[in-house]
Amino acid sequence: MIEIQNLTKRYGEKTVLNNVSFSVKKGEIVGFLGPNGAGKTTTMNILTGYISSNEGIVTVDGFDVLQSPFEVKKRIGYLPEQPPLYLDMTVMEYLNFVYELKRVSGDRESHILEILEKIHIQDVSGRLIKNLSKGYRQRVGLAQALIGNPEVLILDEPTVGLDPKQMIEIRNLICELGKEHTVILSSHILSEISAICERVIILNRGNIVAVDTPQNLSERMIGSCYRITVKGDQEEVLSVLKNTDGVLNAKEIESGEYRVELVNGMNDSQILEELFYRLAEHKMPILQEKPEEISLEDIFLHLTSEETNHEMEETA
Amino acid sequence: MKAILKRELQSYFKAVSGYVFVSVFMVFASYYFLFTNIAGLTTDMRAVFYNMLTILTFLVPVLTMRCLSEERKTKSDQILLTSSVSVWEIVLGKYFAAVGVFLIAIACTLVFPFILFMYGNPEIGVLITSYIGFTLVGCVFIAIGIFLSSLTENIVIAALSTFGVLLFVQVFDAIKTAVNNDFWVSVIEWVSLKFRYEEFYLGVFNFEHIIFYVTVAVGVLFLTKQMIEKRRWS
Repeated sequence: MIEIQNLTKRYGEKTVLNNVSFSVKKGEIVGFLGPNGAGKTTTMNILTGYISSNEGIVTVDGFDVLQSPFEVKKRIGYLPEQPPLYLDMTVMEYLNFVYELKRVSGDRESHILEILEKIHIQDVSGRLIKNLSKGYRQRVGLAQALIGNPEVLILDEPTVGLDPKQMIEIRNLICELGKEHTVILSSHILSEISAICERVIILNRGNIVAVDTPQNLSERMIGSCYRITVKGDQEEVLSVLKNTDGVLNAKEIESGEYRVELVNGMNDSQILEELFYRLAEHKMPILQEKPEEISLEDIFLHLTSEETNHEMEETA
Repeated sequence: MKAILKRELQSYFKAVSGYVFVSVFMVFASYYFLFTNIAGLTTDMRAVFYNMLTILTFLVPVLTMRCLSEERKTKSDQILLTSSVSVWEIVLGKYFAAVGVFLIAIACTLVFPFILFMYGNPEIGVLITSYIGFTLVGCVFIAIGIFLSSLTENIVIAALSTFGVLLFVQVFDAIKTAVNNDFWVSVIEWVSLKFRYEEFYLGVFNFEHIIFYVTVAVGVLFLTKQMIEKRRWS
């Protein structure tokens, strides 16, 4: 459905996208994962024809973005990071405007009503967008993307800035939409991507770091992470920690405090139990133990270090 | 284009700017009409048309400052540029909406000639050329305002720069007094927006002037389109 080959985008000297290639099959839900400035929005903006690329080919359903922009735009519904709303219009006026703008044919009223229903915004259809909450504005943005029933939906950080309840609602909506549309969405929240997407593309500094299913990726990644405080000699503690089965890596963060990464796929409590007994054997008591969230940063560090290791192995 | 034109027109009259433009325009036009034509007992509307050009200098920025700058700031231009409309259609839609508001204001002033015809015997030809000239100059001013609003995200800067440029257009003819060279005087008169306008309200109907104004407006709108395209390509 979507083919991207060797996409490069430069702003002056700065390269924001570097030779990015990937493809998306019809009906897939693909997630872009990456920290701010990774090139997610830029890729989406190029895909939708909002900005151009310096090099590379983008085709949607066989149509080139540069050669037949209208054919491509007809097939794409785009929800940018900041929903492109006109605050002085009511929801209904706005959707009517988008309907005319996109030159959709067919029964206007039933089409818009159907979308209102799908996105659950019938009750605010007569209100000014200015007066809507962030969550509702996001939904109106999503409704706008659905007008004309495009085959592809591109959603740029659709849950950013929403409260947890709204987040879940929007996520469910996207899952629902994924049944009928090809969806590309971006996020910097790992759990969100793995909950919705069938495939993840990880971007970092304009490069694709990994493309895989969420399951495979998490197997390549760290399972979980704990921060423990242990009384005892630093080197001894570290050697015990590192030599315990199931511990991927351990390092001291502050004096007496250690960060322990556990492998994926094993029972955490089993490993922690083992750790407890082994440290006790050496008379080094665990004073505190708490789980730590794995940040995206950790995954990147892990993936990028994995990549450089690969490269080094290859050159060796 | 129709969708954009419709939305823009609605938005002018949803926000105050459309009403401000038409009402302030009418207040000043009535003022000049009252003191020259009614108080002076004349059917000659030259003074009205002459002075209204200055008023346009202040009012056109109000009309055009938001046009493209605000869209860029709120990123609502993303919906326009990712829909199946061309950049030309976006620019023209916005332009004709602003021109529409201007035409509404002009239509309101048609009551003045009507009064003149009721109580006097004005020269209909002069009135017609005056109206044509005034409309054309206004359309060029609006094109300039839209171009300047495409250069910035800040509506204050868009308004001030439009005001500055239009003011310069007003005083441009004064350069003539500084150059004593016939050739340069003719060049200045040729490019001056104001000099040609003066012929219109004197009752001269010159097709060349119409072509000139239309060309300038289209040229400025073309530059606007290029500005938007350029930003997407760089």
